[in-house]
Amino acid sequence: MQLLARHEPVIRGYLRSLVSRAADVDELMPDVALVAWRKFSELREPEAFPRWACVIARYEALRFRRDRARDRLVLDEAVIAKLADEGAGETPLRARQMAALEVCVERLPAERRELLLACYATEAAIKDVAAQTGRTVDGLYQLLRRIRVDVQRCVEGTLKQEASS
Amino acid sequence: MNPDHSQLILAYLDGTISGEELARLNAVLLESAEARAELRSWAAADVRLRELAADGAYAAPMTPSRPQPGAGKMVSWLDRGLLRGLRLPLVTGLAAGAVLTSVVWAYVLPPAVEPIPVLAELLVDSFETGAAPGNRGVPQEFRIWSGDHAELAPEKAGLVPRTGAWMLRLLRSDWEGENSPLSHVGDQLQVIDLAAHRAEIESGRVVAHAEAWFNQVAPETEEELAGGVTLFAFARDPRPYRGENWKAWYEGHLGLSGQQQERTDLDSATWERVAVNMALPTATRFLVVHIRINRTKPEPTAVPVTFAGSYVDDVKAELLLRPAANVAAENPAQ
Repeated sequence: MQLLARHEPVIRGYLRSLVSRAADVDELMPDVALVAWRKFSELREPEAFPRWACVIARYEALRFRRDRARDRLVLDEAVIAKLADEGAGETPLRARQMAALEVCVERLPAERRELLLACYATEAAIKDVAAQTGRTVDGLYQLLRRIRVDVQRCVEGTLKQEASS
Repeated sequence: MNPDHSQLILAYLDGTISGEELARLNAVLLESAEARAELRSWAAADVRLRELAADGAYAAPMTPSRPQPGAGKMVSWLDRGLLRGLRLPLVTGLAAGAVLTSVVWAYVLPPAVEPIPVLAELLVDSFETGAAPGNRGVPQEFRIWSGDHAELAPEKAGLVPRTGAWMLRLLRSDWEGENSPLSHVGDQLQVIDLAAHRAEIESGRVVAHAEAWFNQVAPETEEELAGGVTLFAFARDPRPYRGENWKAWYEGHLGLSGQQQERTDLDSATWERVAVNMALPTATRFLVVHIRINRTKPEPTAVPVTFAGSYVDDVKAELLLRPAANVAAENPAQ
């Protein structure tokens, strides 16, 4: 099960692309882990584990979506299926992306970095941060968007640099 | 990165997207592989940012004004799997030990600077009464040990009970009637009715404390084991949930303590203490004290584990009452 622990971040990232709320990932991961454990003997090559686990996550996410589709704004099932199929082969890329993101967050000016992470601290953080910084929630989302775009550009640049070196 | 796509995708991931925007996003994602790749990239970033925020790697002065339920260290599937695994030992086994030594959870208190006064003693057991532990899973009576196969044991192979003449020996990682083939955690539980302390609990000042001492004698095996203690708070009596419904049982808790555990050394002369504290949610009516032994290096097993010599003694659980001034200072908005 060290495999599960090692690849947990990218599997979480994969699941996140298939569900509408971050909290859904927390809800689904135990189910993914449980199925992976039960079916572990079916895994032939340890190297194939991330993709294999993503297939399990895909199934769980689609089942979850069917249960919740009436309750909230969720993507169409056909879209989720495409996202899932294409994403299962991207786990190495996502692992590199996540590592680069940490470096890029560290490079942010301290004030922006703290604001960004404060907004991700809890589900209710946005309202608290908006109140504490004297911004409207909409205004904070706009600022947050700009910071995240900067970070993503930094990540893309880092990945390109890695690929070319 | 397409700015239009990014805006829609971020609104979707932030949970601020409108129905009309979602329809547009669906249409874009259905047609554009590039947009789908962008969504996956943003989703991975979302997860990593939450992890960084939860890790507290970069101190942020703008934290939420009040602790939110579930706030703090991110709850990983390993942690949650561990909880479910109380019934599903296959998951318990994979989660415990190798990764966790002290998992912080919602409702876990910071270390107290000063001792908190004891409100009530709930459980003091050094296993001297002769009451054998149950081996049929969830206890069906209050204040009775039940769970996986276990027995009362006297001194054995140089391992002396920490107190008195008897101790509890956790024998196996399955319970009578269980069919799980991949179990390697031995559990025992007690359910305690807290009705007599309802008023104090509703004040929000009550902390539950539990501790147990673990020892191991198995010179012939190199298997590393860890002993653990967990507390669960429930609003409703959890005893009726058995069998397949144990999953719902453990998902239905109001709060739980950290998964505290310590590796048991192979020195039979020393006992290792594990202790947990949990601030009880005000709706708590029942408390479950859970003790366990598990492998620290889980590997899939074809059959439930038989523990060579794992013992527990001196289990204690009590309610503590925090000073009203301390609680008020921590919750200025309330």
